Amino acid sequence: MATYLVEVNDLWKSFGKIRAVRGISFRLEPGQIHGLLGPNGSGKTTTLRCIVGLLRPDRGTVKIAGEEISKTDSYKRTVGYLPENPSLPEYLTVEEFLIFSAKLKGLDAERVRRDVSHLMDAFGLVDVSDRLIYELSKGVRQRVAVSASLVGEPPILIMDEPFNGLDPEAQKTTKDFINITVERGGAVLISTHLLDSAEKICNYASVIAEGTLLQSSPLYELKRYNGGKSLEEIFIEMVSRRRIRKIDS
Amino acid sequence: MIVEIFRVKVKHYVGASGKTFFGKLSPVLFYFLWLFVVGFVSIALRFYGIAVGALLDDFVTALRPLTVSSILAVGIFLGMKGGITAINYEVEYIFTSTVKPRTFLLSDFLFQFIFLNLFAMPASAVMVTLLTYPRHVANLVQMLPLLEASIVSAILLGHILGMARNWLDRKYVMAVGWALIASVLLPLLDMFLGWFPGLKQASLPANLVLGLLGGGWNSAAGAVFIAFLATAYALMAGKIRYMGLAPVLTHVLTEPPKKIFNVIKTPKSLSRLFGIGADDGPLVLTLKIHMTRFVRDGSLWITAFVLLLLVYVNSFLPQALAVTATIEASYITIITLYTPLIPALLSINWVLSERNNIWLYQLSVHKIKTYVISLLTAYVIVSLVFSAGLLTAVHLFSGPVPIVYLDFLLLTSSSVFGSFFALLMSTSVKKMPSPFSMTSVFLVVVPLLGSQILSLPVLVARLFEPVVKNPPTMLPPFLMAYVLCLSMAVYYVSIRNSRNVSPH
Repeated sequence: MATYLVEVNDLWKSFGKIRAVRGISFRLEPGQIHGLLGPNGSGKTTTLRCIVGLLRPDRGTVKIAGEEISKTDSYKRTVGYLPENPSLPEYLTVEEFLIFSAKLKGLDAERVRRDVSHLMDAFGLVDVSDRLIYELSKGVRQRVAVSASLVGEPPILIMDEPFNGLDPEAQKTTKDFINITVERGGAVLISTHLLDSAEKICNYASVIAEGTLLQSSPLYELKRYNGGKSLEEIFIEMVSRRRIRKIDS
Repeated sequence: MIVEIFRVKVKHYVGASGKTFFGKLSPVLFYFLWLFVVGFVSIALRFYGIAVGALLDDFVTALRPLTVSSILAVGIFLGMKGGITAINYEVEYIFTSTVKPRTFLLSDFLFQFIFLNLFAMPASAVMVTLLTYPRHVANLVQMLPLLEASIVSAILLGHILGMARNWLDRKYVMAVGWALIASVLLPLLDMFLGWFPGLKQASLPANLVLGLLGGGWNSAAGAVFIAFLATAYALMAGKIRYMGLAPVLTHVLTEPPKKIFNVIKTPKSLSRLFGIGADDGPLVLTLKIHMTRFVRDGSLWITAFVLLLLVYVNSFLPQALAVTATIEASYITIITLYTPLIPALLSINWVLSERNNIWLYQLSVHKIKTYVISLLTAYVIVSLVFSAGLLTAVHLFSGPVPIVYLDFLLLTSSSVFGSFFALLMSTSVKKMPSPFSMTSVFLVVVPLLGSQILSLPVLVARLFEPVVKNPPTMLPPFLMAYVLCLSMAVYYVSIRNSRNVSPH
């Protein structure tokens, strides 16, 4: 059994002339709710997409449960992924989509039925189970997408802006599922720019700006080191300091 | 303001064609390719006319009602979908501004008028000239004003139907639309088949527009019809409100579209036909997903409509040219020619609306190959079912037509090869294409041409009458082996090519 559930080592990714990610490294241990924090366009989404295998990094490696993802597909059973603004098959009903997502995870029929029923219940989707995704509001779509990422109870959750468009009730349900995942020995990586939420839920934080990792440490350490300031204050200081340094150089 | 809105719309479209030199050039290339295809077909028809001794002036005369009916039918169909074209930004900014709906409608009228003229006029001029030179001037003088009147009437009808939604429920607008489509297409049955005698003389929209060339009362009736449409348009345009409009083509024509069709609600029994269940295996599950998409996102119905319209319109050409000896072969050739259009259109829809959902499969425990095979299977199934349906229709309407093994082989090869090429093309496209880019052209042309080229031996055998009546002993197994081996080869290439398919 590997010590780290996710290991990102010296990750680089460019799109043409734009260097989106520059040598990022960090690790996820069991029990960790890891916030990947950064301003818009800082490379958070690109990092997450490299981690789940949707993008091939130019350099560096990603290991999930000790296995390098470029060499195996077995990690896919252990990862639940929620993209930012997920593209969903709008022609399916909510229930069909959740069944489909569960089948894509390789679950057996009985487990599919059980998980789908449980998630629809938890996220208040029972009343809209027969509705096409196309007909849903943004918030309900997000609830569906979050549910799909949780199907099969994956021990590793990679979530890009999970609270986007969610109402307080659905946010709480999502947080509950995140907590259950880490209590079971799993880990969660959350990309967000909502620092209030991140401060409340995460126990570890990595701050990135312009594709570079500025800091990666347990949240309590980060706050202690910065004189007990709030995460928002620390984040703004860190990013502004980098900007000033860049202008100076 | 009318011109301003129009100008921004055009800029939006031109700007969407790309930043590279080739990207900027692509609408021009697309346009010349269109003229080239029309010219090529015309020259081929000209040679064919010479070969069978048919006077092509008759062909142009026959082409007139076809053109008028087709243009009006397209206008009405667009009207049933909403009639008014508006880009997303127009809906969000102009519809919420102080710009009057009438102003916006007129700018859209201008846009549709110039756009349709740009595509129809030079192409028609090329066609008529190539078919009837040196008597082309007389034919042009008749054809071009008729075309102009059809375009204006089509836009007016489309807008009127779109505006009617301000006062009528959608289902009533649809009912009126279907009645109008029937009224513009049915006279063709009388003109070419002699069915429903008298329809040719009835005061139906297509006949009234055609009557413009007739002189005397006929011309007056045509003019009154267009004036009536224009008056109704002007009266309605002054009274409508934006909230009563349902704009169409919010992405198409102007920017790379996210999707062409909205998801449509179908009866539950139909939707559940391919019920997605927890017990399905990966291949069956993805196949059902594709079929559900075809049914619910409307791509199946649009494809069926386009195919039926093309086969229906073109099935009159043999009669127009008096090629009646091998009528069933003509029908079958037409069906075969258009069958690859089914997977081609379905694959365009896949590129526009489904490709971005690939991430779900990329993260699944199943191989992407399963997804690709199921997509290919779905294309083949739909193509086979449609072409077989059309063949059955030919069989029913043309009396007892002898269907030989070559017909089945031809439809199979056309469906299978068309599907392979459609898959190959759609999975090779890296960026979401704009509607009039070269990529969009290739997505349609390559499956059509590729399928025809590969099916050529079977097609030639089918059209050569002595072979059909007394086939050489070795021919059937040879052709079957040919189709089978080639299918395996293209299957291998298309699946191999699709291994790295990813979202845009």
